[in-house]
Amino acid sequence: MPQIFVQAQALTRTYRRGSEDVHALLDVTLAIPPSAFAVVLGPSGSGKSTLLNLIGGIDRPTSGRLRVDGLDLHALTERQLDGYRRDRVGFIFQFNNLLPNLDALENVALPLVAQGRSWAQARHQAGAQLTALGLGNRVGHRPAELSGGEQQRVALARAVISRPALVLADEPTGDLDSGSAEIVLDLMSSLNRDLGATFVIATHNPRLESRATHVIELTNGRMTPSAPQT
Amino acid sequence: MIHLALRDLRHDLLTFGFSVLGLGVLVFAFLLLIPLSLAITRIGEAGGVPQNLIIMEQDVLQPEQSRIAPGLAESVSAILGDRLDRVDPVVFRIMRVEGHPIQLRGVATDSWVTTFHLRLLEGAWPSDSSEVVLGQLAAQGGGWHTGGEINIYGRRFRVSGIADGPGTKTQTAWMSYVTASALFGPEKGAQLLVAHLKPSADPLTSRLDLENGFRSIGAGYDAYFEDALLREYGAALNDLRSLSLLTAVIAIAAVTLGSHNLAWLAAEERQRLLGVLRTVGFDRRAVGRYLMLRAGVISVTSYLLALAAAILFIEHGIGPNDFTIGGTQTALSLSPAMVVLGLVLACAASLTGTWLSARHVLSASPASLLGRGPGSSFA
Repeated sequence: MPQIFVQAQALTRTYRRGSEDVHALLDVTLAIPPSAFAVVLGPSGSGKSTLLNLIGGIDRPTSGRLRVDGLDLHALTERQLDGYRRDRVGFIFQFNNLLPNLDALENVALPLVAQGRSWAQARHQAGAQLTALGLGNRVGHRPAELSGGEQQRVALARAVISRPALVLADEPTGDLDSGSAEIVLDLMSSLNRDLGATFVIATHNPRLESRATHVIELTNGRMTPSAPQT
Repeated sequence: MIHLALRDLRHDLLTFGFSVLGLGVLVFAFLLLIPLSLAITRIGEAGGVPQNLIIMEQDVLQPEQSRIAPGLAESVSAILGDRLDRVDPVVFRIMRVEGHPIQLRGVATDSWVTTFHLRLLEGAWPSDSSEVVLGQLAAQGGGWHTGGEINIYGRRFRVSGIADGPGTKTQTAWMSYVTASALFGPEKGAQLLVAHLKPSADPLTSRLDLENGFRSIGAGYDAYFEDALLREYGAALNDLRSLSLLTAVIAIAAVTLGSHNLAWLAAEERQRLLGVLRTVGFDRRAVGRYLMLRAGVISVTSYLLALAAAILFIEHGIGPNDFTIGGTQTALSLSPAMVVLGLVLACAASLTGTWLSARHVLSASPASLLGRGPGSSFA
């Protein structure tokens, strides 16, 4: 495994809004080692989500270089990028983005089905994962029948079910009460330790800083100069 | 992906129901219009609406005074070309038979049913030159019976059967053209030619071409419609057939557009869902398959419901054998070939519509499907 797991150099993402160019991310250079619990801090609109989009391969940079787990994402074809997301990345969103028409078990099983497993196999594995996260009795419930904290734990289970090397979480606790947020963060920390996966968490909650092995601060799409890069 | 498609449809039963209903109505129209146009075609092919042109000598008042020149049948064939189904010379005489006025027609027996629409009421068609068939009015007027004998022009014939035909108001006796020619001798030949047009031929144009053709070769003959009313009726039927086929095509086109709109709406509504699928690792082809399968389930369900409704409507609404056009009865039915064709067309139309609408969604990045542009960090 490379010593640097995520490496960005002069990473820029520019959107066109009408006749105006909006720099969501500008000239960002960073390095995150393997198995890190990295936190990206910054206010709303600072470029945290854009950075996660690029690292996760769901969007492409306008310029700059980005290597993740030894892969140059810029050089990947669409198909290779699909494979990268499928096999190496797990996503957690603030509003969890669980599919409302599937129950918890099926939502968690989705990444495995995308990898080609049968629904039966995927369900079986998903059941074990949900039980490990304390949701063994909620497997047959649809997202609307779960609390916010439970939904986010299901989203967490979906993100790690395929044992990805990288888990990206965008404001994972932003919509939760403090009790539920602590549970989710504890689970993420323990999964980071147990699975050895690199976690990159975008948040504007500075309290997460205490759990982080690495902190990246963004302001207006740029790295904050004083941000520690330990 | 079929599992996802089914779960998605089950989750939103109301939308699924309306989608099925919307497409089903169009498929139902298609399933009725195709057999209708085929039934109309069948009427034409079966001679239910005769498209016959009667050719006789110019300036002759009575048909029996007309004389058809040798070789005229070939000229008619050359003028009408592939619009002509067949041309029959007819020996036509009005004479007294055992004291009763009889219109005698000598025409090839092959044409009795197909061209002249004779229907056997009793007995059998003539098996040799010693037999004739009598019209119902002639049999009643002369007191002749099936199996009895009749003296025509000094020769005895056996009555093989009694027949009737559409619009038959005269007392007629029918014999083969060969028998009539032998009976009356070759010098007067045939009095009429009956040109039977194919159902696809336009009678008006054919008649005009025929008369122009006669003029160009210096032949003094006129062409008449067998019946002006039937001519107009035939033209109307042709129009109806074209119209029903056109409407069927429009129905299928509407299925394509309807599917396009449904799939477009579904894709727009499900952008986030599709974005999640892409994010967790499903590639474009898999997401496309999901949309196609979803559309396929809607199409097949619509089709099966429409098929059931069409069968019920034909069987119990109008009755498969009660369908008549202008007094001509025909069967209105859905053959297995039509059912399969309808299914293939409906599914193809639906999938085409879906593919057209889904392209923009499939080409979008997962980030844009999830609405994760600048400032959308809370998606």
